[in-house]
Amino acid sequence: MTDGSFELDELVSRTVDRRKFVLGVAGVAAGLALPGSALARFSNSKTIAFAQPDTSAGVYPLLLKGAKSEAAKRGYDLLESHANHQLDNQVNELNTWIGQGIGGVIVLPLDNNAMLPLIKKAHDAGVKFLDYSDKALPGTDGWVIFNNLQGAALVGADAGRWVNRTLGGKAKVALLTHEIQQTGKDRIHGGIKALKKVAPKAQVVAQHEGVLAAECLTVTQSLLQAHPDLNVILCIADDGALGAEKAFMQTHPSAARQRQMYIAGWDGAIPVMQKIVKGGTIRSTGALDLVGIGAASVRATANAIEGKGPTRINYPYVLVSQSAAGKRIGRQLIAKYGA
Amino acid sequence: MNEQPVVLAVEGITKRFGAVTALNDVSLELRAGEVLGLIGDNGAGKSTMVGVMSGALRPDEGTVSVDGVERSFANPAEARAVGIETVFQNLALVPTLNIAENVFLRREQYGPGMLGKTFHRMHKSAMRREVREGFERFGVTLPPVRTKVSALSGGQRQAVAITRAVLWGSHIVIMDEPAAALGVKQTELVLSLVERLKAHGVAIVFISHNMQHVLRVADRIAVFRLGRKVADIDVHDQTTGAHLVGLMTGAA
Amino acid sequence: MAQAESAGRSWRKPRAPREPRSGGLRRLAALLANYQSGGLLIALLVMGAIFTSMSKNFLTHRNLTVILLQVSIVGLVAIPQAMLVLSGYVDLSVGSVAVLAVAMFGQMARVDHHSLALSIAIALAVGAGWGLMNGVLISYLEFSPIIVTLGGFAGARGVAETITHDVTQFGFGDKFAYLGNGTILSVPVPAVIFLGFFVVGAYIWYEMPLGRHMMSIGADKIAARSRGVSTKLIPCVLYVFSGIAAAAGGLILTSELDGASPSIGIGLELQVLTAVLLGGVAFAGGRGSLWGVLFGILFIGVLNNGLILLNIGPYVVNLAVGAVLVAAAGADAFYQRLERIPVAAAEPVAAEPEAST
Repeated sequence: MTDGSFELDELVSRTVDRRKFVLGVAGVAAGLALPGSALARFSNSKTIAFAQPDTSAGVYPLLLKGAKSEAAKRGYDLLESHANHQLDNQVNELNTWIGQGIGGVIVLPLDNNAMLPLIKKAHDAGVKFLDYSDKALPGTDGWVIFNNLQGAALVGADAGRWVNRTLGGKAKVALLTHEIQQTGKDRIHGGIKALKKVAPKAQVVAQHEGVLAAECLTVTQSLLQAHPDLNVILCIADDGALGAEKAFMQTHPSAARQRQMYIAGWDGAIPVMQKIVKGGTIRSTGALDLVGIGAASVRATANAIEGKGPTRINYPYVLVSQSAAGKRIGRQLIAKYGA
Repeated sequence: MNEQPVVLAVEGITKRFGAVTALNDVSLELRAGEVLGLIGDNGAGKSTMVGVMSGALRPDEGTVSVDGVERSFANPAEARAVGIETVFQNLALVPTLNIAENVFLRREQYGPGMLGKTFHRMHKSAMRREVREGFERFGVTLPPVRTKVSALSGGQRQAVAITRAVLWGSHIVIMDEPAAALGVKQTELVLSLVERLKAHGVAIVFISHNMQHVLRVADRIAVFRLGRKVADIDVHDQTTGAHLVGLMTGAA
Repeated sequence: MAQAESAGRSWRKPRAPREPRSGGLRRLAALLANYQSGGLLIALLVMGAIFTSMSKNFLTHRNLTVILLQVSIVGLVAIPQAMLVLSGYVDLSVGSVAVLAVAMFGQMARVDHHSLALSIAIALAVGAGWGLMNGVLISYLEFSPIIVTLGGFAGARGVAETITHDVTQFGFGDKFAYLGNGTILSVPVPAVIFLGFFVVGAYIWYEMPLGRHMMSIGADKIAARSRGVSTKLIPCVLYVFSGIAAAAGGLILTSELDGASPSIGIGLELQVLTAVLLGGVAFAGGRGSLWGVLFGILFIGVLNNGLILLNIGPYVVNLAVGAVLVAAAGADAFYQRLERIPVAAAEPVAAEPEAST
């Protein structure tokens, strides 16, 4: 009994020690990102790191799906990020990969400036460094770019047309954004700009922070108390759009009231696209073909490593909406993601 | 002299810690309504004796009898169950609970009816009343029973801890340095409480370094030196501190 | 005191120890000290009055219902957390345990097509199991509560990600939707659950011996143990309840969203801890009031809601919560001083240098 608990005590405290809990969760994640066996297991030059740091985002599994299938097709091992959306973790794991001398890495930078020294380090170590973002970083070996402003314009214009068609041009608009993220600024500010261009009389009545479903749920619950006659809610991400829609439905809106609500997001998450196609109050999303982007990321990186084929890929947003064309795109993406 | 029955008798107690014999064939007797002073230098065996009597230590040899029945204690709770309570220097009071809550900690009374019986609803007013009456019985003047212990002085805390022991039916109370680190008036509060408990028939073992305190309250004094009891004397007018110190140090 | 000297010990003649009679200030101080959580209630009411005067949408039946709904999940998880903090422990793993339970639920209900009842039961059991692990490690093996539950904070979410591969399960049907979106007598179901738990929690806290025992463990574990308080079992059981409450909170949110999102529970531990500490439960343990915690929960809920009604940005919300927390810490220090006043004055013996304990 005593011996047993002592052993357990020992075991766990050793584990705790190794995981460097003093450094907090960051330490844990960084610790997990350093699997010692990886060095022995992988033939390094045939290894690509897919450094999408936000692994708990709804978009991640789809990105990974594309990346994995492309990596398998090209004969590469794929490493995943454990940065957990924290910049210091991201820098740590990039340093580790560069130190291991893997073939190449493609990064969604959490901070563009923090990448510049790493790009130089990667070059010195012979590791290809690509970025996957809304703009190309200087000195990289290639990129996969999706232009948030282009996606913002698609959704904003669709919302504007809906305002004109349904409400005769007048509408109360709320924005759920995440202002410290460039993506958030581009999507939301670009979106409202496009909306106003089409429907100049639309009026922004509220702007609040909210990204995750749970956050947007509570924010929208309160918003609808302040503005029961709200017409448009632009959410920085589809996860939030789901929360906003639930908050709206909790008010038990009549069918007529539902017809006067337009909720939109970006990303092209499956549940959101299904709701759009089915015909609810979530009416559009600026969708990125996530599987396609994941695959393109690995393709561009592999091309850079092998020195042949395109390494600069621009991936556009597509509009999933309740128009016939928009629904068709939605169904295509759902089918592509599904199996 | 005291014709009361013997309530606590330890006989032939020996306790060794490795090569060290902390207690060597020591016997003590304590009668109801009697205060036995226990004195001796550090390392004389007082603390070991307290440990044996309070159930914290098991003797290697010898017996402990309470009310004429031989007992063997596995822990202090068992000693408490037969009426021996030890008030240690740390007092075991919870500072953020009030006086009444401390007195009834782990002995809470349940209220009447189904709520009390089935859902363990406390009878708070009854507990407060009992504490108040208990203090009155022993003539202890304390702040209201809803006062938190953290707000009490050292002497008041001693008084609460000692009174708690007696309220819970202990008829033998062992006090380990009850007046240590107290001021003059705080000490008076404690010593006079000891005297009144004695009048109520409580048997008390009183351990102290302070000769004045011991001489003031004790009826008999047992002097320890190097693990043995070297004297067991009735306190009378001629007993002086100097004499006792002589016994303690072996000069007498 | 000359009187005490001259009268010998006569001043100590049995006298009914009653509440001190004299001193209005003393009584006021005692009153204030006994109703520390009352300060927060007053602040809550003042804030409510301000919002009422600034927005016609604040003091409406609908908006108050929305606030109650919004605070339900944090409130539910905050009740066992408050008891843990009172006992001198803390559970930082609640948000991650919530998403783990939800991941399990989503997997069972949607992927493996088990019944709703079984899926819910297993999700709650997962919460209880994680809580039990916390409890055994911390209470019986005496590992640091902060380190163990911080490990759980990272670990439980990691397990959840392994189960779900970050895929959101959704579409759980109308029956399950009732848990988060239904109403009982026009009160939202989550609020009914929260208030039910609060009543039970308050009963335990104030009416059962257990409440005092928790407080004694938090204030002085050695003293509590020497009086026979179960200093290991009680915290262990509280961790189990904390795990169950986290799982239940996660399920309610899943029902509201109709989606077992991997983002569930992010930041929950901080929201819960903020409410508990704002409510005046001492982080070191041993002191606190569950009413205060309720007011803390409502205070944050009302603040968030009111500032959105006034269209004041989220940075102000964070700033306000931070400022209120610091104010609460200051008030707590002030109240602890107050508590000493009435007694020092009521003491029959002149002030003495305190014995160091």
